[in-house]
Parts: sequence; structure tokens; C-alpha cells
Amino acid sequence: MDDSVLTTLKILIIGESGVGKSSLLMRFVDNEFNADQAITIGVDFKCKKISLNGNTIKLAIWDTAGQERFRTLTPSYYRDAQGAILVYDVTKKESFTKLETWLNELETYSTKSNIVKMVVGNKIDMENREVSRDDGMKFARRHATLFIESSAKTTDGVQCAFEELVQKIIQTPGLWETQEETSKRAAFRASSDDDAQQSSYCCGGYF
Amino acid sequence: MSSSTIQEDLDEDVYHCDFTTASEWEIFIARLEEIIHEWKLSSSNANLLKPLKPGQLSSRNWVSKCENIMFADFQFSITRYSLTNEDDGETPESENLRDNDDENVKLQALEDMMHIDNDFIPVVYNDNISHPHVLARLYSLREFIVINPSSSAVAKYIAEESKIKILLSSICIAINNCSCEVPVFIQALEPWRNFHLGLCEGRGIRAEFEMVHLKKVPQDCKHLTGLLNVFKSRLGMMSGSEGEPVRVSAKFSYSLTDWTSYSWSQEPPNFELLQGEIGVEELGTLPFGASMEPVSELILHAVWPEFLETALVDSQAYSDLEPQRATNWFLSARMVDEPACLLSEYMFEILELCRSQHSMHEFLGDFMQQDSGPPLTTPFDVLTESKVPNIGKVIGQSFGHSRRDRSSRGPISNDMLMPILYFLFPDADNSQDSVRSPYPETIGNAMNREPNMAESTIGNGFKSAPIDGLVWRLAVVMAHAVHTLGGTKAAAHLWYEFCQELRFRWNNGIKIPGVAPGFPDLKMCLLNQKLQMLNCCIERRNAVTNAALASAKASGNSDESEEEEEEEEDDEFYDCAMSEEDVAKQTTVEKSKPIHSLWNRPVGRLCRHGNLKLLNSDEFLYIPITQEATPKTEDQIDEDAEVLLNLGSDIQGSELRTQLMSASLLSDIESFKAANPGAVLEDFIRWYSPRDWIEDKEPGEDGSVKGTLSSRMQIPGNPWLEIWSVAKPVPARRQNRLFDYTREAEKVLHRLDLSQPSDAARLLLCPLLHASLLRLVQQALPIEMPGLISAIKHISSKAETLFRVCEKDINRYAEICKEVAHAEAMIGQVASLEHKLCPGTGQTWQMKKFLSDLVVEPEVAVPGGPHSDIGKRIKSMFAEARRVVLMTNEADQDSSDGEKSKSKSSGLHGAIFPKPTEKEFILRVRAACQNSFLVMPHRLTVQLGPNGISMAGCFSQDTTFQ
Repeated sequence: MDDSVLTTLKILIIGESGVGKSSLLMRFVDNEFNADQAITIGVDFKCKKISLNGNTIKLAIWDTAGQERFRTLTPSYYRDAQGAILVYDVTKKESFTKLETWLNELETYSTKSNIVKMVVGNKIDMENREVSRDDGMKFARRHATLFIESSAKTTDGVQCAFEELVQKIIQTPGLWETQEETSKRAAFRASSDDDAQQSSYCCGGYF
Repeated sequence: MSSSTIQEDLDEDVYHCDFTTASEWEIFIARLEEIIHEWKLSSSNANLLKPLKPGQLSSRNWVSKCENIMFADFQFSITRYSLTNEDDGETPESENLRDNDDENVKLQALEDMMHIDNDFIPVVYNDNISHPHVLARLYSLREFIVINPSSSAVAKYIAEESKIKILLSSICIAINNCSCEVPVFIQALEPWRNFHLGLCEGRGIRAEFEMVHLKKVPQDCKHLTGLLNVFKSRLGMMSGSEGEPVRVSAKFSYSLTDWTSYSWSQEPPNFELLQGEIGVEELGTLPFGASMEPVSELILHAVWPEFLETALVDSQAYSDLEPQRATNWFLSARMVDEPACLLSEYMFEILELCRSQHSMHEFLGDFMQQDSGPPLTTPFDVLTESKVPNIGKVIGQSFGHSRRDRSSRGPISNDMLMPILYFLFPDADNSQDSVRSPYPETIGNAMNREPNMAESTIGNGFKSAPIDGLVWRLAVVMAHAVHTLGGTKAAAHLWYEFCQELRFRWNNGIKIPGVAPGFPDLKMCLLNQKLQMLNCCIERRNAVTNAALASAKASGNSDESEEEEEEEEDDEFYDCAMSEEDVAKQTTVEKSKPIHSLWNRPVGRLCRHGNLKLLNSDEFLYIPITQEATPKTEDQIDEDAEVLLNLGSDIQGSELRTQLMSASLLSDIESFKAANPGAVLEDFIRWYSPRDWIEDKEPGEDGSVKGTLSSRMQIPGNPWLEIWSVAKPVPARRQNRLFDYTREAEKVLHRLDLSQPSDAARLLLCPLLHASLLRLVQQALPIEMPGLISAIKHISSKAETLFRVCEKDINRYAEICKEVAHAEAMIGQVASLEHKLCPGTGQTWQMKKFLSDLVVEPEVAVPGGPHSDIGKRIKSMFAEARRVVLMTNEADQDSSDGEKSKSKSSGLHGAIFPKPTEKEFILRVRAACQNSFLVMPHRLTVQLGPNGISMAGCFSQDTTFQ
């Protein structure tokens, strides 16, 4: 396996407050879960290296505060992100209906026109579900995003959500490479195309 | 050729089955056969293919396979050329073709050779390699094999006749052994001669391909009559003997290089001539097109596809082959290599400036220092003035001031500078009633604007500036300055004036026109962001000033409380604009509910938060007036992000980040406390993060709402609790400013002031490239040249990516500019050809196709032939060029009478057209000749050009009855 980093990707996590953005990140990066996750102020970030089809990719994942008042502050950090995870809480209908606003926000402030978006319905371990999987899927289809349901508590879908997103970013031409990386990418694509298809299927990712 | 004896020798060897003593020659033949088998060319029952349709020989793709072959130590390469059979769904039912006509035996190669639909196919030379292969043209072949000395061979070519003969006999043996019916050629003599000899054998026919090159053309070979004699005598046909007459195809080429009045070029805008009258048109538009005639030569090909030798006469004394009477006309256009084009020149000059090492000071020197102290207008001055002065007046004075001071010492003269500055800052121009070149209103709301055709072609992914906005205009004007107004010096001067104007506007609180309102748009280029930032600063300061003025006015009018009077101007504090209504509302609140003691009065309320009431009192919960968000440009955001990233991704880093990010939270809490005396954290959370306030299902006994904070908000020592506990009730306008507009504005101005000419050029590079691509598309769209638009799209997406990743290497941009230049040249060529061949507007689709084909194709049929409008136009061009030649000749005659007779004769030869530069004939006949009684196909292709005569003949004979 090649130890050198293929590329560094910037990924955003956005969505209403309390939907579990920081918990998702915590689960993905540290594999920990804290029912009382501290409330993010402004933005925070975590790094993780992942290995995808034999290539190491460094992720800088920016976690943002969901509170209305922070929305004047956080979009500055949307700059140059290649991927965005839009999180809602399946037990709170409102957090789902607000996704539209978050998409607009992303449209307005992201500097890359082909940024890859993924809609994540979190907290599926909870019983009082208000948003069906189907609704989430429909929304994702309408806005041409990836879709997955997850639970930061039980780890369901967390790993997959990030991997799926990264995979898609890597497959999007012109989104991430710099000049000297072009050749690397060609090699990468050749080796990963088939696997990409498969993993996309098994994860239930929707595009 | 004694091939039969060779055959026997070889047979003997085979019988002995001992190859150890095989000669080099035998090895060569064996290898040749092996290759022929490998390429599957040995099937003798191959079906006869359908004749090719007109032009297919050049329009279809050619494929070639290549192998190495050694003859002793001499390396040859053997290449098979064949036309792909990408047929239009037609099945090659070919058996019939052969069977129908049993009378004559047919070989594919010879049938193709006798077919007239692919005569005179154009051949393109690229690095001395022709495409399609020159043999395809000489014999109309669709498949053949060429053996030539390989590029790594010691000797570059074979010249000895004996060697040529050995090779040819080897071929003869090999193709006979394999029953290969594909003609095989060897290339002899110097490669540039394209001298090929070849052989094709099968079904009892042997066809030999011969060639003759003569530098000096024999007198009787200059005309068809003589050539017919040569052809017939080679065939052993007596002239006048019975048998099929020879069928002739002819093509005469005429060159035109003297354009006289049909010449076409474009001039760059001449600002000297327009002095004082420079309009928006000239300043705001990048020039486009070829500045020199981009077409170097037009060649007319008059073609007679086929006629019998008896039908037309072409002899030394008389010729029926007059171009006007030709059946078809074709046209070729030769282009000037790398023609001078205005737009790309502009671009390359700006790129040059990007690389410049010179400093501003080198260019401007004293001129800059003299003016370095801008008139200091303190905010206080503005305050004390009774009325904000008329914008136009102030700027007018400013420009006027500079004019007086600088006299004409700047590289750009004042006469030129003023229109430029008024073009960039149209609001400053109060010399006329209406603004001459206002910025489009759409700059503010690009969303509402439908992009036009050209803009949508390029897309809006450019990190540029609003189209026709200030930065856009500056970029275009800068390009003009570099090109026409004095080069780098002028650019430095323009940049300097631009910076001066920005400083003036900041000092006087006048907003910068031509940039979108609001926060810096990160999708735009850095310069545009910086200007937006400057505008934000100007706006904030003006708001503060106005609020101060208003409050001063209010305190003068009514008896206000001490508090309002305390509101003196101090840069250290954040000031919110507070309308009089607010003040009034506040006072009524105070009057109706005198619950607050003087020290604890609510301040800085924006509005009620629904009907929510404070938890611990009967007061409504008020949303406070808060500090506005801080605008940032991308470089600042990058710096901030860098700082955050450098804190590391561990817990400590996270905590430090939280502290850094808490400034705005603290400010909001303080405002909240000030607006809601007696409020608790729970109240704040209900406004700020309502999901962290969990209401009890049942309301309390008195109907009041009860609830608790979410568990995560209750974590002991969490930042929210801590900040709440330390925050004091301070209204936003008394808080420390989160956004220091003075500092930020100075930072922007300083950054721009310090830019060297190359920095300035780099800042403007993207808008300029964007503008030029847009210009390119605008010019390209009406031409409808296939592939051109997609090529431009490709260029722009490449450019887009470069700007996105902030590519520093100027060479990468130069590559883009080269592609722009290429596209521009093509458009220039089309324009020039249109001007020459079919001027006027509203070209038909057919005409557009003709013009764009002329640019990319080697030869294009003139639609309608000699009698069409284009045909007439071509005739008159030739006629005019002819007149010029005759006129100059006449002038010469006056001095030398001896030339008279000669020029007269040339004058007689065609009233309009000059002598053909090249004549080509193809002579074909199916005839029995020499000893054979079978009718065999024969062909002779003749090229008569300035480099002599070249004849390529194919003569077949009967091998059965030889």
C-alpha cells in the first residue's frame, strides 16, 4: 500500500443544531460516542486519514454550529470544500424541512460548483421517527445528492457515509486534483472503478 | 525481370529442407511472406469491394500497421496502409461484381485505380509525411504496402538501381508465393521525392507501378497532347489505332496572392486619433481579429472529372482547358503561420507584465512621491460639515486637483487619463447631465440576470469579477494601457491612479461603484473581494457617522436623557444605527413600564421575540441589536483557517478554537443581557439555540411555560455557562468592535498600494482572460464552425480550473493564451475569407460551412461551381490581380521594349487567370497492348508543377500468355 497521501480533502458537516453533527464526526474519527456532546461554537474540525482502494486520503472535516446566529460566521469556512454532509435528525421533522435552507446556503457560499453533497438522516436508533427513509431518499433524489441513514450511537452507516462521499469526490473530475496529481489519479481510477460500483450498491448510497 | 528462374532456385532449397545456407535474400523473402501471412493478405479469393464513393478515399480514416524487416544488415520498415471499412450499413455484396463480368479478370487495386470518383484527393503534408499516403493519391488505391528504409537504417535511402531491382524481385516472389493481391511498393531515392516503385500481381495479371521525376520538363510533356503520346507509346499503342480512347481527368491550379482591394485586416483602437472623444465602446471592449492579412494564398483548382481524349484539346498552340469552362471548382486557402491577432497580443502583453520584475517606483519615480500625501480628510471634517457634499463635486475636485498637480508628467497624458478614470468611476463625472458609462444595474443581483448566449457558453465558474463591473473594466483598460497607451509604464500609472482614487473614496466616505454590494463574494477574484471589503468598511463608517449625526441632531432638538449624549464618536466602540423610531419605542416602553431602575434599564432592543416572556419575570423576551457579522476576503479566511488548523485536531486544539470562536457569542450574550435585564441563561438559550431548551409537556399551574436546558447545555464548565457567567450587560453599540473597519480598509489600501506592476497584472489576469474568452465566444458564435465552440469551452474550463487552484506559474496561463490565439486566428481567417469570397450579412448555412471548411480542410468544392456568386467573386479577384500585373508590366515596357512580345503573349493567355501553377492529368485506358490480346487497365498520373514533372504510371500485362 502506498503510504504517501494522495490528496487532502475538505469536507463540511452542516445542518440544524442538535441533529448530531459533532457526534457523527466523533464516531467517525475517534469511534467514540457521548450522549452529551458539547455544543459546537462556531466551527471546529478534525482530521483523519483513510485508505481507499489502496490510496491514503487525508480528510479535514469541518464541523459547524447549527445555531441560526452562527450562520453569519460559519459560511466563511465553506470555501474550497470538496464535499458536504447535510445532516438531519430522523426524529425531528423540522430539521429535515430545514435542509432546503442548508442546501441554499451551500449553493451560495461554496466556491466549487461541483461540490459533492450527501444527505444523512441521523439518530435512526431512536424510536420516535418522524421522517421516513423514503422521504429522505426522495429529497436526495430531487437534489441529486448522495443519501444514507445513520446512527452515531450504534455506528450504523457512519463509516459508510464518509467513505461514500470521498469515493464520489475522487470520481468527480476537476474537483480535487492538482496538476502533479493528475497522473496518480488516472492510476487510481483504473483500479477503483469496479469497486466503486460495488460499494455504492452495498451501502445503499443513492445518487 | 527474371522471376521464374528465382522461383526455381527457391524451390530447390525448399526440397532440400536445409535452410542453414539460406542467403540474406532468401531470409528477406521468407520474412516478407511471413508478414503478408500475418496481415492476412494472402487470400486469393478475396471479394471485390464496391467502388468507393466520391471523396471517401480522403474522408474515411486510414489505418497503418508497421513491421521491421531486415535485408542483410539494412533495416527496412514495411507498412500496410488501408482505408477503414466503416461503411454506412451497406453489406459488401461483392461476389456479384466479379461474377457478372467474367470477361475481364479483375484485381481490386486495378479496379480502384480505374475508378474516377477519387481523383485528385487532397493530401496534407505534416512534417514531410503526407496524409493520406501520397500513393493513395497517385493511384487511387485503398490498400497497399510500402517498404522503405527504416528511420534507424544506416543509409537513409536506396539509390542504386541494382538494389531496387533485387527488392522488386523479392517482392515479386513473395506476393506470388502468398497469392497476395495487394500492391507492394518500395520507396527509393531521397525521401522528399516520394519516389515509389511497385508491383501488384494476381489472377494472371501483373501490374507494374513506375515513376519518373524530371526537373526540366520536356517541351512535349507540357500539354495533354504530348502526354497522351507518351502514354500510348509506353503502352505500345499506335496513335490512331483502334481500341478504347484514353479517358482523361484534369486539374489545373491557379494561385492568388495579390489581394489588392480584397485584403482584410483590423486595426487596434487608436486612442491618439480619438483623443478626448474616447467612448465606452473603445475603452470597454477588447479588440479582436487579425491585424494583418491572415490568408497568404488562395488556390483555385479547376477540375474536369473525365473526358475522352478526343473531346478536348490541350496543346502548345491551343487549349480547351480554360478554368471558366471547368466542370468543378475547388478552393484551397493557405494561411499565414501564427498571424498577428489583436486579442491574443493583448493577452500576451499582460502575461509579460505578470512576469515583470520592475517596481512601481522604477516607472513612476518622483511622480509618485510628489503625490504620496493624499489630502487628509479626517472623519471629523466630514462630521462638522453641515451636509454630506455632493459626490460628483468632490470627485470632480479630486480629479481636478490631481490634474493641476501632476501637469502632464505621468506616462498617460491627462487627456487620456480623464476619460479612463471617468469610465472606471462614472459617478465622478458631473460634466454631463447623464452619466456616460454607468455600470449595469445587474451587478448587484447577478442572480436575476439571464446570462446571454456567449456568457452561458463559457459558464459562470470563473473566479472573475461581475461582467462590465469596475474590476472587469479596469482589466480591459489595463490591457489597452499596456498595448496602446505606453506599455508597462502606462499600466503602472493607471494602477497608481486607481489606488489613489480608492484612497480618496475611503477618506471621503464615497462608495466604490461597479462592485456588488454586500460581503466579499468568495466566488469572485481577490481584487473584487478587496473592493467589496473596502465598500463594507466605507458603509460601516458612514453608518456610524450618520448615526452620530442623527443623534447629535436629536439631542439638539429634544430633551434627551444623558445616555444619548454620552454617545460620542469613538472608534473603539461598535455603533449600531438606531433609527428614531427605535428611540421612540424605547422611550414609550420605559414610560409605560417603569420597573427598571435607572442603572438597570434595558438598552439595545431590536424587537420582541414572539410572545416569549422571561422565565423569572413578567417581561417580554427581547431580541437584542447585535453586532453585524465580519466581512472577510478569501486570503483572510485562509489565514484564519490556517490558524485554526495549526491548533491541531486534539482536544486542546478544539478548546482553543472554541475560545477563538467565542468572541461573537460573548458579544451576543452581552447584548442580550443589556436588552433583557434580569434574564437567565435559559432565556438566552430559548432565543439562541431553541433546541437546547426542552419544554415540559404540561404547563405550570399558573399557565407559565416550564422547562429545562438540554443535558448537553448542562455539562458543567461548558463554554456557554462560562461565557454567560462572565458576560456583562453591554449593548452592542458600546461593545468592542468585532470588525475594525478603519484597520481593514487601511489593510486593503495598503495591499493595493504596495502592489508592483506584476502583482497588479496578476490581480487582473482572471477578469481579463474571462473577458477575452467572452469576446472570443461572441465572435465565434455566428461563424458556426464545427468544433470551434466546444474548443473554446474546453479552453475556458481549463482556465477556470487554473484560477480555482490559484496556479502561480504564468506559463500555464500562457498555454491557455496560445489556444485563445489559435481560435482567434481561425476566426480571423474565416472573417478574411468571408470578406473576400462572399461579403455581406446573413450568410446561409451552406456558405458558413464553406468558409469554415476552407480554414480547416485542404480543399473545398466551390458551391455552385464557376458560375455561382462565389465563382464570380473569385474571377473578379483574379481579374483585378491580373490587371495589377499587367499595369506593372506596362510600366516596365516603357523602359525596355524588348520584353514587349513576351508580355503580350502572357497577356493573351486567358484574360483573367494567370498561368496555372500546377497541372495534373490522369490518363486511363483499358486496352490490349504489346503482345497480349487481353484488355488490361493502365493509368498514368502526371503532375506538372514548378518543380518539374512527375509521372506515375501503372501498366499491366498478362502473365498467362506472356
